[in-house]
Amino acid sequence: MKLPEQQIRIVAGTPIEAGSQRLMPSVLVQEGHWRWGNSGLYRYTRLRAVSVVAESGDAAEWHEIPDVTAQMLSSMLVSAAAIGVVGIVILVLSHLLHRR
Amino acid sequence: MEAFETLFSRLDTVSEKVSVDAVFGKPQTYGDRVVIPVAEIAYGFGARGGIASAPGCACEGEPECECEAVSEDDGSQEWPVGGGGGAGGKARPVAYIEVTPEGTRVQPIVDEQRIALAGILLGAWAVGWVGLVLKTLFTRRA
Repeated sequence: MKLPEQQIRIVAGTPIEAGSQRLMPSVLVQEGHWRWGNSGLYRYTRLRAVSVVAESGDAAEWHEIPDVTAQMLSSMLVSAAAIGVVGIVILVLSHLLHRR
Repeated sequence: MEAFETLFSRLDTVSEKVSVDAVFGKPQTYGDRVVIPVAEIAYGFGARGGIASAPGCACEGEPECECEAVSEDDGSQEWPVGGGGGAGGKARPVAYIEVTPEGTRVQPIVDEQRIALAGILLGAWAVGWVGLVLKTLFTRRA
């Protein structure tokens, strides 16, 4: 079965004029494309802001745009997996020690 | 199949119109500060179609075979065609950029409802595992 074609790239967005500063945004674009000959098509696109550079006169300052919600959910998922692994290890050890 | 090709080309056109600029909202001015909302955008679509088995159908000639062509008024035959598709999308606020005379600040937006729900599920998961382990350990000791 052919795997979907996936492309990930960072694209510079249109500069934004905000007050006395000029913002240069960067966006992460993730695209997936899957086609079954001439009978089917599946396509998805995900756009997420990565960072923005604030330019004021000769000075430029880089700011990261974090996705705090996704980071917290990811850490929770890792914690859940760790709890499951630790539980399985304890149960297996208990079973092995009990057999002795 | 030409109808599917037309559909696919139009769907591709729709995706091209959603550019990276859609991630950043329109700057809003409040006094001496400018606020720019930032979101995460995701969308997808799929479509698939098919044509009933052409001549050479696996059950051709057998009773109750469904591989039958549709007879037209002029005596010609066309094979049944079917298809389906779907599309979906979402936009989720991620942060907002605040531009003031003092400088620029990026303030993340936390989805507290989703975090709370995930926390409840994580708590139930942890309690379940702790209970299972303790039950197993104390059962073995007994």
